[in-house]
Amino acid sequence: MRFPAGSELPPELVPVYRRAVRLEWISIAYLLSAIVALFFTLGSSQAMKGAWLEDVLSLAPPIAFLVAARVRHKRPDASFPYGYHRAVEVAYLIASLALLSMGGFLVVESTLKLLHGDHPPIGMVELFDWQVWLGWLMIAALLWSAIPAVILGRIKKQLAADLHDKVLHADAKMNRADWMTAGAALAGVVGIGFGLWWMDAAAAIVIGLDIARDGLTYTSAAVKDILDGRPRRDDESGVHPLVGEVHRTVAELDWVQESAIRMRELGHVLSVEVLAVPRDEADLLDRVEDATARISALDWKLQDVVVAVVRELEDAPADVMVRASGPTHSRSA
Amino acid sequence: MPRAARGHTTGMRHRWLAVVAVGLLAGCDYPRDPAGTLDRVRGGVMRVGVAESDPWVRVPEGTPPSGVEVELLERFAATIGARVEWVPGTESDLMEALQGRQLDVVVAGLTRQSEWRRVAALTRPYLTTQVVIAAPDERTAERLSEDLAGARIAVEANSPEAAKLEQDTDAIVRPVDDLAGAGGPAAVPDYLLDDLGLVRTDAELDEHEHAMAVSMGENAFLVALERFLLDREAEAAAILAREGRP
Repeated sequence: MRFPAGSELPPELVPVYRRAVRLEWISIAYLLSAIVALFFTLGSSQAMKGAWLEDVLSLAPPIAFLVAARVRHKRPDASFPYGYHRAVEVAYLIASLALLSMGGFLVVESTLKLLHGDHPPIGMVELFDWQVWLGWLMIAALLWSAIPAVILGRIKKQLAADLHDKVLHADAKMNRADWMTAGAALAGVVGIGFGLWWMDAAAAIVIGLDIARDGLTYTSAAVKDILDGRPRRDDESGVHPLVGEVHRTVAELDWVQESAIRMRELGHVLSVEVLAVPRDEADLLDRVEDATARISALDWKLQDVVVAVVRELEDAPADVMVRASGPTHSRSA
Repeated sequence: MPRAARGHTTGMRHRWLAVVAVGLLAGCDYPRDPAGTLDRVRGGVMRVGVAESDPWVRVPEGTPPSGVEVELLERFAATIGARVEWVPGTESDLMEALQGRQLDVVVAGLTRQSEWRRVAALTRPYLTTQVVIAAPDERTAERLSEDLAGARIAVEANSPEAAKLEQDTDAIVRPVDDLAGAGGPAAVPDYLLDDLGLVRTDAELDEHEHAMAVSMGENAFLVALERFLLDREAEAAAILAREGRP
């Protein structure tokens, strides 16, 4: 058996992954430009401030992705015998926390401003001897903060699904939050122009709630990953289908009387441990090798597969048990 | 199916056109005031709070106020056909009244750095002045531009300039009651240089971006006043040259 280092990705996905890395570099460059544009037009608008902060925090997922990209491929060594796959999970937690704190901050601050009855002032500015209402510049900056983000987010969402990459997924969601915030801020600024002072803060609250909800979902998912929770889909929409497939594959092994299966996520790859009680002791080595190969062949994501033979299984939770009589795992995908 | 799709896009386009049209229609009256200040003031009464701050605002007993900012506001009022009602008071009283929309403008020699920006909308700076170290002749000016350490610099006693000089430089502070008769190098606002017969050095102590305060969120009024002020920097400087006396 090969020591489970695993190449991170199968060859056909390597170009996809390169595209994701390139896209994240583009994202960072684009975000910096949007941050600068918004910073110089901030004024006193609450929603503008939210949009700006949002863009600053949006830097976290791409940076986390790129930092993780540097270490995740490293082979296991004495210090990290399981390899560095889970660098991605750390990045995922950081990206999720950024979303959560962003949303919470926006809701709290905008509510205070609304209760306080703050009327945001937007006056004139001079740009190279050209006088213009700051509101128009705000609108231009917000459009720049919204439109490219929509496109980037859409591409990333597809790449995240292909690569089973949760950081990328959280980043796509962050881009969604970006353009929604920018859209709300746009409504806020236009509202201020029409003399509707409350529209700014109200828009910021609605958007803040939406961002915080996403942040909460992903933070809890990231914590579950770190607690070695059962693998879930990259968009957190349910148990990963491979859990069921592995259970079925093991159930089909006729030499196994009963077994316990543990699966967890190591970053964007999955680790599988099978503790199997054999019916007899014949050809154990071949059988174990065959089982390992069968499981590994299911999907490229199954990279750290260990099958161990044990005399008996005591106190194993019924949920993780597989009996030869058929697929009996109680909660399947 | 394609037909339906096209219908949808045209529908979207119509909606966008409507949005743009509304924007253009509103263009002549945009941004607007939540409390309608500009509409009320135009051809009516503009209530201006004035707090003493020579030479920007002077509020003598019994006579109407004068000063750079007072004069600028009188000219602004003329452009919108408003009559000015001057309301004297302390800066904090006036700001409280402004916040509660009992006044339309407050002038008190405010700068953009003022803490009042939390409770009032400050206009773009209509004029920027500096506090500089000045010398009686070019040779001294050159020397002081190099190094202020140990130099005795005259400054108006108990003034913010004195504070700045003491905190930010190694110069020896020489407090005087009247800069006109002080003699020697001094820390003075740049608009007084000619009157005092001093030349400026490269040493700048402070910069003031002068602004007026308007009720928060009354954006049409704010924009009208700013448009007026931004066009008149030279005018403001001329008034200051006339009004600014040591």
